[in-house]
Amino acid sequence: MDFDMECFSTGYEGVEPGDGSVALEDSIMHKGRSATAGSRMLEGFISPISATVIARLESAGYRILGKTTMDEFGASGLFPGAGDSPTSGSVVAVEQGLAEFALCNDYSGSVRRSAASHGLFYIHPTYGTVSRYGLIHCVPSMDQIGIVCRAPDGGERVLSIISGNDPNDGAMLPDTGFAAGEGSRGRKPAVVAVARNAMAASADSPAVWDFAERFEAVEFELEHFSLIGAVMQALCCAEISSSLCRYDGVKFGHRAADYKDMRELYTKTRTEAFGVEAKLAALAGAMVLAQENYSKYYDKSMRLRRVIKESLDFEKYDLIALPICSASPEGLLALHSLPQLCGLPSITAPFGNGGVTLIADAGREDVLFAALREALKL
Amino acid sequence: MLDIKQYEDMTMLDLPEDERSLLSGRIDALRAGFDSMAQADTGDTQPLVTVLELCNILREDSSAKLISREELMQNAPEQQDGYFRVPATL
Repeated sequence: MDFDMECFSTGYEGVEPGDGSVALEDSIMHKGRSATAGSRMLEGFISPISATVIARLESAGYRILGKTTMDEFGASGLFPGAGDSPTSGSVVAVEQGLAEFALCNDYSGSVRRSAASHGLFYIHPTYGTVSRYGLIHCVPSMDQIGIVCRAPDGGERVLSIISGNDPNDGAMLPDTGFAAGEGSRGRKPAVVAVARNAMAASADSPAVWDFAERFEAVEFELEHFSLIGAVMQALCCAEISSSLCRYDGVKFGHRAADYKDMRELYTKTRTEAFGVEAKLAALAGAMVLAQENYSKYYDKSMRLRRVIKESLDFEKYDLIALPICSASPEGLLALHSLPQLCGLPSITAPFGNGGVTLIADAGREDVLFAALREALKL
Repeated sequence: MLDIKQYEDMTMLDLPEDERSLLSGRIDALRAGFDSMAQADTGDTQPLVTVLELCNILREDSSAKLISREELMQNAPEQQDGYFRVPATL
């Protein structure tokens, strides 16, 4: 079936939508197909390689339906409150039943937020579990391919297919990955921790408590919650600023039409082709990394990242439950940053009259799936 | 308001005046957030660069051809005789 849906930047002709089909965010390369990462900078770029996740899905019998739209380099979610971003094409493709599921790199949290508000689930695997070979990277210390799906058991199956060590990705865990069915066999969570300070002014508080009280619910204080948004922005902008350096109009991507020397070629090309959010991230990143700011911004944010990660104590609880919405933009970013900052697995799910994000210890995706089975009576 | 011209130079951007004004304001707001990190005492905690904290595992030093020259060059904005074409640098 041919289709031309707005949620796709490229739909592949002759591929049947529906069950068994996969939508890929336009940051995931598929050999011979375009990959733009939502940027004018990569208009017309043809992928020279295919991502490892594509080979694994095709081996399992899935067909690739096309590439979905995204905001430029996925960066707009870092700056909530600056205006409404369009809904991710991955979410629309799954919600409308065109794709059984979609893969994307939601480092800024905007896709998972949008997924839950459309009745879908977003699975963010433990950092280093799913190969990023073939992913157009933006924030290497947090980039991780995740899954938009209609139900957790479908996402669990997909995770078991795409996870596992890949020698082409130099920052992966050495183990063999996640096996489907671990959720039903794995340890059921007994204690769910609710972050008291993250619940303030969230309309999702009743949904989070409703979820937690199906288990033994405990409260805790999430350290430096009010600073998590700033830490996230400082680190992401620094890494994006560095990642965008390769777009210079020489080897691939957009090139300005008129220039008199190399400097002007670089400058005109980048000024013309990057959108506002990409420029903002690059400039803010340059500020964070500048010699006079390096210690107070970049180094400080990396130290805070460790303090926050080491403050989480999965000896005392099995899961952390967080709301998905917040009254403030800073709170919104903080709520959707913890898994990426700490490299932890999470599932963002619609629940009750709102939504909940569940976070488990590294490598314990089984606990997440078991909790959802228990709470949703699947 | 923050003068962002120095950061434009660092990032190889040359913004039109309206965009410079818009982004100066937004970067100023981000800077206020970054400054707030100073209130947190991180003691002697070491920076966390990556969550994996694995040591390097080096692969065998063997050559492999991942993509062909033609595949590599297909995305070149300008090329000549199989090379990337750029303005004269000397």
